[in-house]
Amino acid sequence: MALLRRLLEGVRAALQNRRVEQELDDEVREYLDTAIEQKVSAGMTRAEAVRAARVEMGSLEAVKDRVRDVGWESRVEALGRDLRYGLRMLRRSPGVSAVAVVTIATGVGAATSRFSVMRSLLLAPPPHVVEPGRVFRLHQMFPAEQVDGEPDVGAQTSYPFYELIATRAKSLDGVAAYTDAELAVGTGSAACLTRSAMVSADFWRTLGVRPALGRFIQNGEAHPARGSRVVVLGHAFWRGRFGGSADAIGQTLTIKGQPYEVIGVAPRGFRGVELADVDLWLPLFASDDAGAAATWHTYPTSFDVTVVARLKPDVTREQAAAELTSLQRPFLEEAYATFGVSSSLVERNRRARVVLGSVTGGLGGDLRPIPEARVSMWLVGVAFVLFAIAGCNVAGLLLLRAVQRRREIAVRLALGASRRRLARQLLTESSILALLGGSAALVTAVWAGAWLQRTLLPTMAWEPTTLSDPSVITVAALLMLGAAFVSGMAPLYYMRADGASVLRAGLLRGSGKQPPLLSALLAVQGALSVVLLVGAGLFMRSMHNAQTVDIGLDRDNVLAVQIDFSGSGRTSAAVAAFFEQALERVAALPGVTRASLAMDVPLRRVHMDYAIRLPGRDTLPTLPTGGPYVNEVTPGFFATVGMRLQEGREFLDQERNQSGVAIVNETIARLYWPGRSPLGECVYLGRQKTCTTVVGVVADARRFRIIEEERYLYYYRPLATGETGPRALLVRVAPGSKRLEATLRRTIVDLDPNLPLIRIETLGEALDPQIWPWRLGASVFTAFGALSVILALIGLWSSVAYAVSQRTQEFAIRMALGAQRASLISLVLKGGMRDALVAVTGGVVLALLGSRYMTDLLYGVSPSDPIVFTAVAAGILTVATLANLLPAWRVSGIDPAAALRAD
Amino acid sequence: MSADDTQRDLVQGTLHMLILKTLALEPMHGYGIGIRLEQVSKGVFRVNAGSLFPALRRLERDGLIAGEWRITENGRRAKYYKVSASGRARLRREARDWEVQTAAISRILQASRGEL
Repeated sequence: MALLRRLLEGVRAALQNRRVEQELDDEVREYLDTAIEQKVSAGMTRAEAVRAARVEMGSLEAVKDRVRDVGWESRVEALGRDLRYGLRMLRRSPGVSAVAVVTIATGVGAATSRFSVMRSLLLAPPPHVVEPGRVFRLHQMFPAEQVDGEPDVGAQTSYPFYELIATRAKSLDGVAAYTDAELAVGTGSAACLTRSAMVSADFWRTLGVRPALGRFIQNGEAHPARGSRVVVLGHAFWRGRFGGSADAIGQTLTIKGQPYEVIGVAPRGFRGVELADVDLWLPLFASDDAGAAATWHTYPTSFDVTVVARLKPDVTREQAAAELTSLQRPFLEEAYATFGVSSSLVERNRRARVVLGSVTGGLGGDLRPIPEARVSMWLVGVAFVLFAIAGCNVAGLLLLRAVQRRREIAVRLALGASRRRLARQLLTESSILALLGGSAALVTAVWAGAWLQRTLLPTMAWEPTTLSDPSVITVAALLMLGAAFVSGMAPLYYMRADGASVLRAGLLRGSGKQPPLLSALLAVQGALSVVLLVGAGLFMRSMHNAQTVDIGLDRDNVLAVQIDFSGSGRTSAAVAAFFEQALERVAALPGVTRASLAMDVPLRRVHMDYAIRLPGRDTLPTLPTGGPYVNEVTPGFFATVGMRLQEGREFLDQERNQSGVAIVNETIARLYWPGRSPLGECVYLGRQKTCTTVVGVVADARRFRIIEEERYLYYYRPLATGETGPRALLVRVAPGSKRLEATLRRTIVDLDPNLPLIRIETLGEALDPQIWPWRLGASVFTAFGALSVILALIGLWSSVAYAVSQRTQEFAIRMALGAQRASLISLVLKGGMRDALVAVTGGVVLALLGSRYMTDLLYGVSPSDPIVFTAVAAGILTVATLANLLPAWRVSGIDPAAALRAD
Repeated sequence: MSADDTQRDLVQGTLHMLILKTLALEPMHGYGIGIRLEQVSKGVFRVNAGSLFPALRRLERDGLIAGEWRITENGRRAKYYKVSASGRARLRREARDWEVQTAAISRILQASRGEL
């Protein structure tokens, strides 16, 4: 009741504010007058009475203030006044305010965006999967080949093994197999590549997901050999290609040349249990749908599918894994028995087991976080470093401003303002700043998050959940409050002295020394900037190394033209003829240095066929990588792709349709014929009884990866003109003629307008996904590092400029006493450089400590690389020198007399 | 009582009670209340404007006293306060509580060794 009454009184008073104020003023003045009268009638003179009464009463305004404080509405009003005052103050120094807002925005925005990205990548379970904690991916773990090596873990397994588990496993409540592929959809110019997933029976039931539209693939439709041509659209793909319309159901999509009926749409954001987005969901039937019956699903030891399973309610992970292992062992034994493998391999397989891996957390097939996830975790660290720097910066700027306003604060305290009032005012001011900065930060976070996702992690499935995600909002709010608190603390620190004593001590102008807190903040910023820039440098060097390392062939000047003719209805003879024609035409184009055909595009595909036997030798040395791998190529292949012939020659035109020649790589040469040249040697391929002559030796090239330490047995045979099977056109172009791609495409389409999708890319593009982690690291570290340097620079500049301006009088005196300009400048520089050196040293130490953890992410550069460290240290010291130099220069150019005269 | 921040809270309730009692005897304006308190307490309590006015405002807000502007004997315009019915009730209650408390405190202070 009393509360309500107070509320109403407050409202009434607020509405009648002017009258209330007037009355208060009247009452207080009347009190004073009465007191004066009293004293006069007690015998004092008028003047004495006035003075005594005033002293007794204190400040009228203070009394009125305290009366006003009684009502709650006065607090609201005071808040309003504080807000207006705060805004005015901020407007007065717009530069600092803007910088502070931007700083908070970047710091908090970066941190929240990275956090949300990391969260959806690593912490969030796959969307739309029911009870994801009960769903696991199946991994097979084979013990290490060497005694102290790593066990071999992979998530790929064979279809027959999946069938076995599906029928016999008792601890599972649902098992499914899936695989993925990039498939061409549509024909001709409307063709596009899609990321597709191919799933087995029970896939949808195992995951517990329901369609957004239409229906899912039924169990009968999914079998690899006996399925149907149906397709479920991914949600984003459906929105993009079909405009989100319900008419999509029943339409036909041409996939790999065959018609597939659209039967449904998956829910928004659904990506199975993987992290990458999926455009189309197809039955496993589509995996080898080329008209002939599929056979891939019958091989028990191949690695074609990934298996995902849901545990029964009361089964633990260990129990299920044990049961699956007990099924795996006899399966493997039986499978390998029919292949007649070595006893050591059998022994190894006997110790194999099944491991169940979680579907949350970005784990790859080897049960370790995928590179995207690992780099993402690093980037969260980076973002928090930036946040720390931003926080230091804001605090520093506001501290500086507090120092500048010391005089003003001291005077106000002396005039009788209450401490609490002042503190409230300053806190309001910094809260406005924090609020502005925080809103800007949220906007930055959303925008930056979207940019980050699109540019740096494009293959992952992203949903725009940043704003609606409660935990992100919570984090953002906490960070904002933290920023407000930190920046609000700064001026209060300077109010701890009594106002009068500040004035008395003559600190109106302040000393030229920076407050130690400010120096510490600047040092921390400088050190952290060093850390970020060192990270940037290390990643950049890794990326550069990865991009320029010799992989044995030319990655930038060779274009690979690939056309998938499967399902297009052409005979293999027609395909072969087409490629021969294309080769002729393309080789004649201006700008094309050489062209050739090959069955496998280097870095993209390998295959094996015949084993090699040497006459007179029963056994040949083998390598753990297996092989030998083979590629059928036309004459000029090595020159086209830039592989170096160490001995011998390329194939000749007339050798194309012979089977008597081969070119081997240097690994084969050294292994089979150590110490001598293999030219002219005779080998038997497969079960041949006739010699195949070695006519050349080519230097090793990478098989698939930039970082490849294993050696491979690789040899080459001539590509016969009528050879069936896939092939590709390889074209070497003069450097700088990237536009040739369009001409190339036109030339090829001219030959046959009804071609399926034509893919043209450089050889090196196959390696881009591998370079991505370094590119990502380099970009983000550089961006954040640059930001942090700029922030630190602003902070440094402001504080140096202020400190120097405070010393104007001191400088003027020195100059009047005969000091030279140069000595003044060096005075300032010495102090500044000392601080900078401390900061840089600290940063270098931190960077050395931290970079050790980055070792496995770097390539070709040591985590304590002296070049990077020296460059960063030198750079920051130079920048710091300039920041110290320029203000000092300006101040030392003053006229001493004028400065001394001024106040 | 001084205007010291720290002491104010401690005696605020007491000041309210004393003001109510003063006004219960006779309606008067701010300065008069201060003088009266000083006189009756024989100089022990000296209330100054900084404590008095906020207390009056709080009492007025809570409806325990009511103020109205009147012309004083000197011809000046001053705000006179008088206690309301709920004010009297509050005074009775608080005075009774005060008695109980002081009696208890006295007993404790006078207790001899064995009793405490």
